Amino acid sequence: MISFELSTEQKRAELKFMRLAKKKLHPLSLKIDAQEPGPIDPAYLDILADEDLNAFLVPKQYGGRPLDFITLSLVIEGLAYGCAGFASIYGATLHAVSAVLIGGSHDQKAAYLPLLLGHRGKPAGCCITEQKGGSDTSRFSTTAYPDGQYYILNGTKSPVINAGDAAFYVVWANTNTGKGRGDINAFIVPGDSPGISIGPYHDKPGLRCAPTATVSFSEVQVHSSDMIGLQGSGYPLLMQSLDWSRALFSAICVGVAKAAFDQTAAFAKQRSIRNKPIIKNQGIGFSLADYATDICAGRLLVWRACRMMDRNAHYTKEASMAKLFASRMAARIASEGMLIMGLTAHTGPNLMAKFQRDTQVLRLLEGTDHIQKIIISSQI
Amino acid sequence: MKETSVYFKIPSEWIQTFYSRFNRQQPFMNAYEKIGRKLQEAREEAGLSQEELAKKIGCTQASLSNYELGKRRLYLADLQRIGHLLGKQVTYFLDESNELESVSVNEVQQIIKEQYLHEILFAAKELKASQRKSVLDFIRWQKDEGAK
Repeated sequence: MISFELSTEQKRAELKFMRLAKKKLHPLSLKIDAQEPGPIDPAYLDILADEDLNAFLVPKQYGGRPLDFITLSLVIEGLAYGCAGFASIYGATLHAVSAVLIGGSHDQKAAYLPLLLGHRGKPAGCCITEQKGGSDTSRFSTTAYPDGQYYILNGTKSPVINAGDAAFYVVWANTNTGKGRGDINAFIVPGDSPGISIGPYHDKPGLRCAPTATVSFSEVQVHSSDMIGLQGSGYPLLMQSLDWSRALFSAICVGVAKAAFDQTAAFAKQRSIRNKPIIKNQGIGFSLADYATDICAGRLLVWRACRMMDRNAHYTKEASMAKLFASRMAARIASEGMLIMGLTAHTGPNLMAKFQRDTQVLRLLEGTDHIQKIIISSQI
Repeated sequence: MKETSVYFKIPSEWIQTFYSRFNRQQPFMNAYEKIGRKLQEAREEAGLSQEELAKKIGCTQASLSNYELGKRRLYLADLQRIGHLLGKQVTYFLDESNELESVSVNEVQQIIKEQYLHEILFAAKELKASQRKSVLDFIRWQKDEGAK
């Protein structure tokens, strides 16, 4: 029998982070959204550290307080309800951590994961995408050449979430020995390694609260013990870590969709035309009924993917289905919410306009709709 | 070593290697279909049926079949375990060195007959991978400059 009931712990997590979203993240997010592009806002770094959010991603033996994936999705959904940018900062850390957890050695986990924890905990970053080839892993131009006990990294990754603030980056690079995907390797690179330079920060339309920038590597020396997994294992590691983070980025989409829906529904109940709240007009009421149904469906897709991850089953297709559905759904609800709210959403800084911009960028993160469809269709 | 009788007496194995690296005659396959095909080859090389290998790695025959068809992604731990069982490195399953672009054997022979190309090829062979990349970058830059 399938249960859709949340446990007491899960309900508590959901409530706690929803409260954090409404009290702290909503007001902060509007201010940060309007700022010039730059590093992560200190207020966001404080929340990350004060709440010790990264501890949820780290196994107990390395100092963490790990959650199961369904509970983690509820935490992320709550954070995204407050600010999709904040949740994406957390999501990028999760992606980097997932690569270390999937393929890393005990020594790597013991050395790097504690850097994310406690009151001095920092985010982590993933360096995958390149300006020219996007995320086409067989065309990575960032190189890693062996030099004694070290690898020398050269190249440019862009965009990178958490650039400049990351305790460490997981960098995918090409050893260029003619093996194509067999030449892709992942390395853990401390954020303060000599030869790393950051910038410029991107002035993007959405997810402005999750700064992205170009990260350049010039003759960066990485000890060979910081290569993740066996030689040549970077490609399957990347694919698996992407599957993992896709499922949880879908929870970000559900969180923003809920926030956009709540704003729209509240407006539709309060706004009256000819002494009748506009929600009583079927044109509006039926749309809201559709949105509520879609949010519920998106949430269940996220839970299904997370449940499969918890069971250590294969979740590639399920993670992509969740991401495809949830990101489209969030963009549609935010966009139509703007229409329903009319001028109210278009005058002055307001959350609804931010939701709309954020959800457009969420359709790109962890693979566009097209990428998700390629993955799903390849598994049919 | 057996040699062919082209202009510069090039060992036939070298031409075959060069040719096979550029063989484009295969149908389009995505990454996991290619990995699956390699898995099938390694399994057959080890003389194992799908059922036998599936039993060794603790999955069903249907799951293994999906791996081989590329319909299910092999996660890193699975790939390492299967590689260990079949005596293969992870890179064996990912190596694309035989599937890059293609030219015919005749084209290869024609290319190698040309003196400078012949010398470039053989000189590059002595270089480290990073140096070869620099040479390739320079050639590409020359091509771009020539096109202007």
